[in-house]
Amino acid sequence: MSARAPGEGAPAGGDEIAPSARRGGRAAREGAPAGGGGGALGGLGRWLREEGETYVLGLTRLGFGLLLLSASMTLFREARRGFFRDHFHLSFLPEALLPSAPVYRALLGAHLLLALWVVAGWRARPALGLASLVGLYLLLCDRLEYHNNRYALYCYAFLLSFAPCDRAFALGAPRDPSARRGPLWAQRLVQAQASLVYLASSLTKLADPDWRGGVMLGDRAARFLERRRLGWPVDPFLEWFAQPHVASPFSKLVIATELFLALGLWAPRARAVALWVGLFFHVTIEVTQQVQLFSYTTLTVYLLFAAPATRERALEVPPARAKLGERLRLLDWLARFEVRPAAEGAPLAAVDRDGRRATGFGAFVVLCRALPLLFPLWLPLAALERARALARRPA
Amino acid sequence: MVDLGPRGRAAFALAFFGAQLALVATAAGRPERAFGFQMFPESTVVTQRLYREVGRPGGPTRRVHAPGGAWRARDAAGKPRDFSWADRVRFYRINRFDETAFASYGAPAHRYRVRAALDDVAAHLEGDAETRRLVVELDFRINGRKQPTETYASAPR
Repeated sequence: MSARAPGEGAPAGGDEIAPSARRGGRAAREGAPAGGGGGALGGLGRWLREEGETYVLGLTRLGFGLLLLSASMTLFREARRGFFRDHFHLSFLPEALLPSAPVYRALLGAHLLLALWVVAGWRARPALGLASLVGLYLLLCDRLEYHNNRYALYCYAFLLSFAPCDRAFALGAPRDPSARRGPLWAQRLVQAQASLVYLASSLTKLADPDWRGGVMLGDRAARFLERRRLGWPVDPFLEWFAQPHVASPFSKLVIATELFLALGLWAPRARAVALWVGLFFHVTIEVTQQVQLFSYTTLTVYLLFAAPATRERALEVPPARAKLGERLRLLDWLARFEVRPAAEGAPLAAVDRDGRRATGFGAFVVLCRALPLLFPLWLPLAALERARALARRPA
Repeated sequence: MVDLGPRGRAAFALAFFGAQLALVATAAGRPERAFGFQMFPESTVVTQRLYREVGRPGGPTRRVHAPGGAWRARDAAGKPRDFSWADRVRFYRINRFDETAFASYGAPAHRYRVRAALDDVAAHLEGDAETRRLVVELDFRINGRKQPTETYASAPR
């Protein structure tokens, strides 16, 4: 995955990058007028007026549409047990504000329909906003089915509806990259919401002695093993993990990781590392705890931390590697690369956004950083590349 | 969709995150810590047992265990009928008795739900002429530590 700070300018040395890359990328962000002066107020002004490519916003909207569809399926499954008011129920709302059975069924249908509209990209923004409001209302109605992951999903979806997320991956979306430019303030709010979730989660853990000391995490692993056996490697890992001398440092690591993610996702130098750490953090949670939609929701939000620009990197593909180039293009979900032909006999090369041209292993590392499916490989390979570079440096 | 101007954007962000921060700050006051994004607050398991207090109105009562949350009682005509906690409580987290189960969102949430369910079930026992009150015993194990047994009773019928 690619990452850049909000409003961060393109680095020097971009001359090797194709002109179209600059059109869709750097120039796209340079349209943001100055917020007036420096400091906090200046930063606020820039944030309110910042503009950029909305390609990744469109992809994120598509992801949220699928998550809303999944939430719809869960709501229908729960409704199969019967209308919640016909049985014991608790609500955040007074009884007078709760729906009748026909209205409840209509709301479930509306939620599903709106989620389909979000996926298709047809009237996507109003659909996203309405779906989140319907979902929040249903969440408030049935307190027994309250889940943090659903609340987080609707918060993100509501904020995303204020962003121009309907200009890519949508019916009737413009093909011209310049027409995809739009304001990014609401995208930044979605990102801020992710940080708020991490911050709230980490600070409450930090304040709890059982959490800090590893008692809670160790016991949770032990209880999980009592309820469910998943086999190798999860079970041996959890058995090892449940030991107090392991759970205690791991608890501190979890708290530190969440704090790092809350802040590191905003630091240009740390962002790619934060995304990589966060990816493994959520995959681990999902494998060991199964937290419904939460991991998928957060990983979808991670897309928004990619630079709001497309084709800033280039992939030079010689004729002999044309098939490979085509496959890599298919993996380029975030449109990070401009694929261009290289001369016969030339190696496949990747040109990073700073203009640095790499071939062989170095090119693969550049690809790993920018292609979501290869991103899990990026950090260890980048560390290896750095180590090799240091070893080659003359003493 | 409404496209806000810079002032509107700032006002919206302030209102949204002001509300979010208020909800996070007050989450501890809600039994399930709702809207606080407190992930995995506790590792809590619970064993719950259901009892009925039976006897004539105004007379002495005795406590009878209802295994699995089910029991048989006579109606006003003296005809035996079957009753179950699960007939009224579909929420699976609080309708399992005499077995140890995971308490979702921790002990305060479980306690709150069970106490509300007790009154609700007791109020919907049409046809049970014997049961005067329902009683639930909760044995929590919070973060691996066994807690004293907690006993809660419904409002008298």
